[in-house]
Amino acid sequence: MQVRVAGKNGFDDIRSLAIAISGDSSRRHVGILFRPDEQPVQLIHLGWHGLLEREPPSNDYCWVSVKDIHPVVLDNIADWLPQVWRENGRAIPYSIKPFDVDPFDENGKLRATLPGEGFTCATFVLWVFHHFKVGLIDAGTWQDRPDDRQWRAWIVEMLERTKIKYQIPDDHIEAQTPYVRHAARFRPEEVAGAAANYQGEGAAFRNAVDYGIKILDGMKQLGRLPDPVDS
Amino acid sequence: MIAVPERRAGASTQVRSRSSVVPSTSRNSLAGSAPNYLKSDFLECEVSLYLNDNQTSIFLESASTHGIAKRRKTAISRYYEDVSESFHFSYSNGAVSSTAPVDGGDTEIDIWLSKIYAMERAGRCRAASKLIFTFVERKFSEEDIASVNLFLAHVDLNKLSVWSVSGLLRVSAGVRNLLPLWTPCLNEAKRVMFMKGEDIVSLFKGLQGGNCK
Repeated sequence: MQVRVAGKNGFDDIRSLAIAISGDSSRRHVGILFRPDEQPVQLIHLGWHGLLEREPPSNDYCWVSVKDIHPVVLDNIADWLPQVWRENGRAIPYSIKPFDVDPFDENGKLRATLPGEGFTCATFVLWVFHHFKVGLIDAGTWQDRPDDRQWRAWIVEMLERTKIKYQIPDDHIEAQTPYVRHAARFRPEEVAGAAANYQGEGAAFRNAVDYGIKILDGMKQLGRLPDPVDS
Repeated sequence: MIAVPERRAGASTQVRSRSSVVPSTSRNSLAGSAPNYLKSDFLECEVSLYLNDNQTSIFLESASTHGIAKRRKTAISRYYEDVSESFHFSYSNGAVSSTAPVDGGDTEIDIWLSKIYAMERAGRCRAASKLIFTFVERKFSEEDIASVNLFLAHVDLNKLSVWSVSGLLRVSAGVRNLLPLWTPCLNEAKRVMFMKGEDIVSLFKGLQGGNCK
């Protein structure tokens, strides 16, 4: 597993699909770098509530290639992602409350969601792969960590603080409150690590944590894991 | 309800034939036995899939005899009725057979297929696979699952690239229980892709039964 940065030619080394990760030592963000047929590499990622972005990737992103998935399947996903964008635009809800079943319909459109349902940046990546029957993680093995709860509480607080700017319905926030106490949190570096080390089965919690640590080490060595800037 | 392929030890399966006509332009390439459709423009169409199982049967139980018709006509039950009117599939001695009466609907599928095949011939394999996505997208948005099943019945996997075959199966996998031909198509795809030298274990990983974690 090698954490890489954009080269002289940007992300041209990416054949069809890779995982992008950025952030600092406090928080990370994950998305998918993809190359639709005969097009340059693009980035799709869920930035926040109603902020599914599809854009040319910034060179600030590190990336890891996806292991052991047939390249044609990666091409299929890369060719399907524009459809997800076309069907949904930016209107993807952000939430710590997980989906129980594949939230995408066959068109790539997000099915009707209940209040509180949505993705984090990491679960968006996981469900995209899941839609193509590639399970990157073994959710059944997941464990909750004390700082996961702090993170969930912070997310709900941020949703509340930004609800006017991002037009977040109150019931969407309220429905997430019970999940502050417990909900699986898949960290961006763990998702990236699980993709980079995929071996035909979803990564169990312990393995994903180890992979995540290696991702962070790789980012640090590249000078891409700065200390957080106090706001 | 739709019965997915199930093994029936020691029992030969009765094929319940229905007369069917399809234009010759929609020749089914899943066919393996001597096809009648070469003889005229509108003839019986028999779909045959070669599988490893000796005696397996796929069939759609009649909606009317099982009370589905009595239910509220949801999109799904309408689909059951439509498809039960249109298809009957049966494995026998290693092959699956189907009669697929098509009355006009296949023309549209022929057009889609001819476009897809043309792209494949031109080497625009990923563009062809995207066209398949578009077809599936459109049909699902119209709640026209029967047409997706017809597509599976009519598509010539030998004329598709690995991108299209993989894309077709993966993008429709979520509703495979509503597509009686999905699993036979997967099995045929494995055979065709194996013959083309593809790593079918890797290519179709996650598609065969069960859920990915």
